[in-house]
Amino acid sequence: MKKTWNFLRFELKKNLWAFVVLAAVCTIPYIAQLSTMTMSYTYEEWETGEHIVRIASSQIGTVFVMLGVLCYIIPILVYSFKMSKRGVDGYYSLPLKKGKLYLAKTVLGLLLVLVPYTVAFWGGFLTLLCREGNPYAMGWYVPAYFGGVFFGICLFGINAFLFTRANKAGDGVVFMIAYIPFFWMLYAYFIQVFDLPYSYGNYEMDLFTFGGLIDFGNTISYRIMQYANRNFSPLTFVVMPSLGAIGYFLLFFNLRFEKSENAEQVSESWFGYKMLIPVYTAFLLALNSGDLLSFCMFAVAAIVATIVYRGKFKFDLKWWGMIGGALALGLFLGLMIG
Amino acid sequence: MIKIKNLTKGYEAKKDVLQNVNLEISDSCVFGLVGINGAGKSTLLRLIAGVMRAEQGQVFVDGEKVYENERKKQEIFFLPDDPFYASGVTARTLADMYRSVYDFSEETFYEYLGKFKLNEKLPIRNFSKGMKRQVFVALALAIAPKYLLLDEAFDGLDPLARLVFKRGLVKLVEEKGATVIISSHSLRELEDICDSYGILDHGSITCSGELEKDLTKLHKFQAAFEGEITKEAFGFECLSFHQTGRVVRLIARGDAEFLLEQINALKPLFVEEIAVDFEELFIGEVEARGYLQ
Repeated sequence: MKKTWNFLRFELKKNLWAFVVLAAVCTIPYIAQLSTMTMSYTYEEWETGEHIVRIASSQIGTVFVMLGVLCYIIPILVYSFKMSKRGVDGYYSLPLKKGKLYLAKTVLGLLLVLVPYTVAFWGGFLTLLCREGNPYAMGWYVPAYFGGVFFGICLFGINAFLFTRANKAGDGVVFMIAYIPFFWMLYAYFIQVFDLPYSYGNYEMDLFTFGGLIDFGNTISYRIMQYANRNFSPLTFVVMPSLGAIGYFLLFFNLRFEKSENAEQVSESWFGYKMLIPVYTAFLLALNSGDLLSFCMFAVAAIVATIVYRGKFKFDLKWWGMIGGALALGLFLGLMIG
Repeated sequence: MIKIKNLTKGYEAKKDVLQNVNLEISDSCVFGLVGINGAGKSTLLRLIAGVMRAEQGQVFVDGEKVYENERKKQEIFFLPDDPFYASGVTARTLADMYRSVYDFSEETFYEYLGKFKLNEKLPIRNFSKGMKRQVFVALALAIAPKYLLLDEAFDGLDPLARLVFKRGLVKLVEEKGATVIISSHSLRELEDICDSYGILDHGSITCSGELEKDLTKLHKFQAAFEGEITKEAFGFECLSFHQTGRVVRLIARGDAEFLLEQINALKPLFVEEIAVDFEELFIGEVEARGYLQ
């Protein structure tokens, strides 16, 4: 492990400026926002004419949004070496096992996410403490911070896994974005089949890949504002942590099957276009079925996506079969909705 | 010692890059790996370096498999034809990276940076192709690995830098007992430093051995005849045959006296034997396989 630690130390030193810049980019606007925002406001109750003082948002959501954005940017910076032939030659020829190399890169990535978040978070906390007439329940900032760290680690794991399924950085970005509403879309189909109300269980936010972070941020924000009328959704601590754990496990487990020569080639992972195109085609068609126009629209979208994926206009019969199968499945799933 | 046994590797686009490669490279030598473009030289070097995994067969370095073998890879340094460096990285940063995982001689690194007159604090992206190569040459020599793998080793280097590099390699082999495998198209450069060689053709090693010994097995003759003469007129197989008017230059394998007798039987106006170089050996071999006709 000594070499891994040495390599990590080198990476940390190399990225020192990245830490400084990212921390500044997150902290300065957040502190500026907190310094100038209105912390409470008064409004007149229309029935009684009574003047009521309300606490405004503590804007803690801003720092969670920044954390979320970092969880999408940093995997690109950290793992894109495996998407270039030169990067693969450079890193895979080092006397480090792939697992150790990825461990060092993952720790680096997590630190690049969490250090700017930590600086911004506590910088914001101190800013609020310094403001006169602070109405917030500042004690909630401690669980808020650790909750952010927890969900940040989960989201980074999900995105690290999704990004590294690609053989080109652009494909990796597509995978991270395409999976955001993936589970929500399946859920939307499910509630339509069983004719449940859209807001059934208030689960919809939790099913986005970053949903847990947003739901946690919203709930903790209410607590900070001293409103007790919002609780954590039961799925907040289930969906995202589970996906994060699976992401980390598969990120390292799949290293044994990874072929370094695939760098810069078409992204053939089963977690990539191969699954996304037919699943999106089938379920979106099912959710929007009923007319010829939507069928044609999704057929064209599937063909265009396959062209982009394969990188050529002419593709084998099996890809046409995949598109045809997805459209047929979409029609069948649409019939289930009725 | 590097031992390659029945090594096979293919890509999605090209299934048969390497087919059943068998090769032994002894310790403390400079081995020249040559072949036409697309022959599989870079792939073979990547497999030896443990960057890739073979589909079949194995690469053994001192009897151990290399892929995912951290301890063995510690003794190997691979310098690809287009080495990786991140944007904004300096020679110093790269030295720090390699120092974190290899035994690294700062003294040697600065010695070669000085010889190449390179500034360690400037971003490498601002360097010319040759200067970038010089940085990596300095890094390779500072690591001084037991096995040094160089892909397109002399590409972009000026004659002076080539000389410095070749001297560095010879020193590495002599002082540290290193084994150097060089893939290059500069066969004249390879001839200066290589003890042994291997020709890779269509994914297989078609010819390998000690360079000096194999060069003496080939004979090159230049002869002039009264009229034009065909290749078939000679009573032996020509590896290479070129005719300019009445003057013929040919390369053939076999006993020099026998070959000379055969040429004299055709009553040349004059005939002389000329030394064969590595490039001619290579061209002779690949021409005999149907290329460059």
